[in-house]
Amino acid sequence: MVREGLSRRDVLAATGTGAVVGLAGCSSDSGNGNGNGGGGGGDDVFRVGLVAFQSGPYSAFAPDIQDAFEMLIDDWNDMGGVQGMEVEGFNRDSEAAPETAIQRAQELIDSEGVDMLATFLSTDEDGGVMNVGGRNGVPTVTCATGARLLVDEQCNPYSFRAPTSTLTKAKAGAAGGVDLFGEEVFQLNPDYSWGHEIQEDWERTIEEAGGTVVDQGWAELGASDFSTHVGAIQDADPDWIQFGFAGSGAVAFMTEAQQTGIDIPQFHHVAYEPTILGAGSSVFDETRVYTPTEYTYDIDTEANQDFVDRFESETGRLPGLAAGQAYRHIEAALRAADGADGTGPDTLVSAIREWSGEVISGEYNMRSCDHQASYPMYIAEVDSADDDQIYWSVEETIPADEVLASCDEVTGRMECSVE
Amino acid sequence: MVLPHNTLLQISVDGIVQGLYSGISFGMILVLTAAGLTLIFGLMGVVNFAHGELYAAGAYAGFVLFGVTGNFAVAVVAAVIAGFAIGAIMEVSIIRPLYDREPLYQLAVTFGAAIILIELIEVIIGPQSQPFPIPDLLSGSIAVAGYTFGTYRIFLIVAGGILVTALWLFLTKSKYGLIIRAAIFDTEMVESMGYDVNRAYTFIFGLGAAYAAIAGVLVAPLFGLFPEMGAEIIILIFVVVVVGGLGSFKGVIVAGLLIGIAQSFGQIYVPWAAEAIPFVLMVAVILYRPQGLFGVEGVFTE
Repeated sequence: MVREGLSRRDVLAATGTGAVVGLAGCSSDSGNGNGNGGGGGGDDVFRVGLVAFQSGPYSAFAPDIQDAFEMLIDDWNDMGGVQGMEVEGFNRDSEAAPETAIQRAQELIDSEGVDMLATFLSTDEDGGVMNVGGRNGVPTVTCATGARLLVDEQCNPYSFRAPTSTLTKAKAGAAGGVDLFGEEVFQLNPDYSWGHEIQEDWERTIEEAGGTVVDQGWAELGASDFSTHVGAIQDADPDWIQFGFAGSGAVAFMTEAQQTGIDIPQFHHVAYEPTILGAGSSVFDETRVYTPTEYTYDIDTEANQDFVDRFESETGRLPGLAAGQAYRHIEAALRAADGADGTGPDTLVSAIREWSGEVISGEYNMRSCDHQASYPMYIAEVDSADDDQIYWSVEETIPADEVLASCDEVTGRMECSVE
Repeated sequence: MVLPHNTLLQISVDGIVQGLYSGISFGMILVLTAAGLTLIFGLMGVVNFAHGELYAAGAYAGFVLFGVTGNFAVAVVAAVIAGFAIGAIMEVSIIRPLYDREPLYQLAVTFGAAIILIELIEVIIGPQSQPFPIPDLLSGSIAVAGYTFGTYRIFLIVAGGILVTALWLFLTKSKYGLIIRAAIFDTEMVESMGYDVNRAYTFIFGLGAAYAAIAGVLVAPLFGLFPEMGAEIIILIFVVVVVGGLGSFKGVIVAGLLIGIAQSFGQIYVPWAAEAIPFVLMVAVILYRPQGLFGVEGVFTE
């Protein structure tokens, strides 16, 4: 069972226009929380709280995240629960605002007494919630971002990073791009901290793979006019393009490139289906679009195909990257919790940090040295698209040890400790 | 635009052609979108924070009708009708009751309306980005003197020029345009002549909204269709209006093209500073010419 707080959209949908201005943004906690703070409900229920961006600029991901989380909780209850206890899920909307994310996480701990927190948030939001989990002694698993800031500066003994870092994705993508298309690369990335991190990591790994960055461009996050960048790409005539925008910028760029007749292969650092779908199917007919990814529905394991079939049957669509990430990362934490000798915070932390096993996508390990999850990466290509769906094919599977930074490398630059 | 690669001279000419092509096409988008905003402010004194969402609403109305009919012209007409209707309803329901209050109330109400419009789009259409293809007739490119230009951007420049000229002619040359302007200047006199001034206000707001909506539907095939599309462009639109002079129609045209071209050349020659250029211009204008480039006389007497 999943309990949801009342989101801004719920209010607006229910009451329509005009009179709701004063209510916009309000959120209330439902459920019958027992008021225990500090994690752990203390009865025969295992409580999992999810804080995820579900309205605001990332609202397109909400259906995938919500559906996957509900399915996961139902699946665990069907299997007999965690340590024999019923699993109760609590879903809260961060509204893509760090202060709201922190508030929701604290509410889940104080009011609902969650045993474990999971997040599907942007970097700034995630950093805040990781701190809340750390201060309150509640195990917290991040599912959406592996930005360097979180790895190097905001870690704590209760926080676990399930997504790979930008460097890991860059290693997977750069080698694949050089191998598939050639050595000359044009980089186009958003001009803010994460965009610069993406650019640096890809440039480094492109050069390590034997490639060269022939030129690069920056555009502000939220940019919609890419005509001068497309001109620069045409001028540079690269073998392929490394592209770091994930939202509306990706759609605008792909459309502009198609208009100008550029069919140079594109490697997107991240490609969330609900956004790139907006480019329209003809773009994908004419341009090869790739991404180094941690999950697609095309991963060929029996458990994943079962998950994909059930997800499609329940929602009418294939699970996107957000759905797969939310499901399997929280699944790994629940499997670790299920094998623990109790639900106390330190017991759960010990269980998660040493856990190795199988999730829907296959092999999955949590490294105790840096609390970083480890699993294979995939090079996926957009096969085709229609109005409602992106169709992927997995072109290559890359073992984790080929792309994941070593424990020594990561702990050497960490300014915080997971011990 | 596809650049030929020849001599050093050609490289510099390339940069100028690229800068002008990108700058004028993007500038015309800014002009078209800002025209409705400055119209509403210039004639009514209302700063409409929901203007970006009217732009998005027009794009979505066009998207729905394009999906049903497959005809881009129908989509544009649908956007105009939807924009005008939403604008007129906004004026009657939430703007009119506030004419006698402080401008702060108008800001708060239009800001609230903006949030509601975004949420309504997400509830009705969905939060994800939607595909809105460029019509076949306007896709592809045109080659001129060794340079290749995107057909749709050329279409945007031409369509924007026609629409802005039409609005200008309507306000300055048509009988109803003159009556509207007179009604703003001297309400009692116009009412005594038997004209309904309230209706003129509603029409102006609807017209400004319709211009936002038509800008939205024209831009969506190029820049994409998503609920926050209005929020993403509105800051730049306000910069255009401030630089041009609040309420100045001529100012919007000059400032829109100026900012588009300056930003485009900035992306070519000083990419690290390109995004800051419009805001540097705005700060300079506020400091040295607070009324904006053409903000002295206002739209009525230009």
